[in-house]
Amino acid sequence: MIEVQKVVRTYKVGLTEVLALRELSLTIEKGEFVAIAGPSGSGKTTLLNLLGCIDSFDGGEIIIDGQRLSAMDKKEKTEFRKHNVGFIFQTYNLIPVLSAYENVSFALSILGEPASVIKEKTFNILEEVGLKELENRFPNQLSGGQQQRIAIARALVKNPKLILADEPTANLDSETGKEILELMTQMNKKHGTTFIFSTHDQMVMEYAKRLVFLHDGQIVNDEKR
Amino acid sequence: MKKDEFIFIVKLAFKNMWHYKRRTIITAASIAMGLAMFIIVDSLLIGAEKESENNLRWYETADIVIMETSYFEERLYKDINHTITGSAKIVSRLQENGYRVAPRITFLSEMFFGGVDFDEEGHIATVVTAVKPAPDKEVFKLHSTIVEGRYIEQNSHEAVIGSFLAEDIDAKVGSFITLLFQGKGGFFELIDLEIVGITDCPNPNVNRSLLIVDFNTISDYLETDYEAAEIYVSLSSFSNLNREIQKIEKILETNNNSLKVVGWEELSKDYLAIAKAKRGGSALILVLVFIIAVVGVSNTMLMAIYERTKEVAVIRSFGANDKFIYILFSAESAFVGLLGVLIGLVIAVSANLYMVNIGFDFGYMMREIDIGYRIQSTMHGSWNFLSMVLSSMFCLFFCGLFGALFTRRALKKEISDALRDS
Repeated sequence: MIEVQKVVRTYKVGLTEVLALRELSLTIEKGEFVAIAGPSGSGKTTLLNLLGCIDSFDGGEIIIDGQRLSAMDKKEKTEFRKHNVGFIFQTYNLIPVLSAYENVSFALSILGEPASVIKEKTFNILEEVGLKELENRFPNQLSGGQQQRIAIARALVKNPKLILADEPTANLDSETGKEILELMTQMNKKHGTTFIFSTHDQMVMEYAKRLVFLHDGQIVNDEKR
Repeated sequence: MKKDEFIFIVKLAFKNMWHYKRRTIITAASIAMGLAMFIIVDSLLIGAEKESENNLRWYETADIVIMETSYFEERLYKDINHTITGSAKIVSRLQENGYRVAPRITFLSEMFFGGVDFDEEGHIATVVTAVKPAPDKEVFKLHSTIVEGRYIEQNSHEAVIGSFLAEDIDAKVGSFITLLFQGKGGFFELIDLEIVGITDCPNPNVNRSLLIVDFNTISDYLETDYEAAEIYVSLSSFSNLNREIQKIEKILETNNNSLKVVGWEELSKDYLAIAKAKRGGSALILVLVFIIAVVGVSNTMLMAIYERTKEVAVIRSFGANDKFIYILFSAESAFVGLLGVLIGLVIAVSANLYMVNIGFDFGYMMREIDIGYRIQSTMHGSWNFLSMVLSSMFCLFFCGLFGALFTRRALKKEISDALRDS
């Protein structure tokens, strides 16, 4: 379970302080498929970054499965990300020098898994995302949709508790976007992993089981479907 | 860190190196050029020093010289009133002890040239070296550098002249010269000599001023009772100079306490001082060459890491710790450094093979100017494997260090900032 309690995050833009999140509180149960929606600058990405331990907050608390993020130092946050969080980026962010297989297995290599386990898990997840036969291709030899599938496989392969996806379909056409969302839905069901993704696309919102609207760093609507 | 993880990092670093080919080539080329320049210049300097030392010993100073203490103190005046008493006995004693010995007497003279043998008439101040041809050939190599004519014979009125001096006065083999000098006690004496040979040895100082005459003949004119002013000794093993000096001092101690036994280094202080100064200046140039290469390398490495800040952030977001990132980028930098070092070594070794075996001909410069080195024309390189290994290791170390330093800067950024800014 994820508990966000009155979290405040401010940024400095020149001499001005901008409040990205204003005492935002939110609870997300394990296995939920949540969309964080809202206009640009509403705090969607900031919230995802805080949940993923790749940014720090100025006030409040975030508790994930009983672990308080404010109490973690840099090393503990790294360890937390390594075991518990998978990221899916808008621009895929696959490592260009690694093949599809290597991009996925990379996440397991960081975990220090033995080679045999890495091989088995990587092939399994590539099969699940439907790209087993493209394992040797490099990112520049794959379409946007295929790259995002690899990114999903990379995020899922280590079986994390939480997958954070920042506008995962923003760079894709609507058809491919739908395919990616269906894949994410399917993975959510199959693995029981909590998916939280940001979007401002209406079509994407329709796929969400829960829709949290943000505006100026605050929740203005929280709709469960 | 587990073995599999380490292998993965190394593979990834290697792949990155090949993926960013242009950057790799530019960086490796900078390293290669810096390293090759360093090794080549170092080789030339060491080669020049070694060759100069050999040319000093083979054509000017031999390994050890024995003189009267009073003569040694004012040796530049070449005062024949301070010849070695009983020099023949000393020579014999040293020869009995297995040394190759050459007695000599050098004196100042005015050389006159003109008449049918020369286009112009004139005179020039000269330092004349009187030698005993047979033993001199055992100690010095001048006889093997005769390019025209032959070496002098014993008891002859013959002279061998240095090639530059011969050119300066337009002397040829068969030309006659006249020497005006003072004998022992201060009387003036004249002697006519036939130039029988012109020497062109690898030591430009010798070519510039050498005039060799017969010892016995000149002793009659100088009235020095066939005593030598300088006794030159050649050693079979050059490495134990000080030990040999002590040994000779021991041999001669019972004989004559007023003698001075000195090594070639003592007699070549001027050259050694110049060589030292040159080494200092050259070291500065080498350091500058290295700094330029290092700045170039650091700049490309900095660019490499900055343009991949996002990639670093992505890797970190998946839980890679700082150590992972440090090793990854340091390994990548070290691989680029290794490539540069290998290319640099290939260039340097190829160039050095040429320099050691063929060398660069600077003869056109050496004729007119004295750059301090006792090298006549061809400057050879020398192998200095320790320098090669150390400079290569230095390159690799700095590449790895730069990689780590710039990675540290990338790691200081919050992951979210790095993802957003890139």
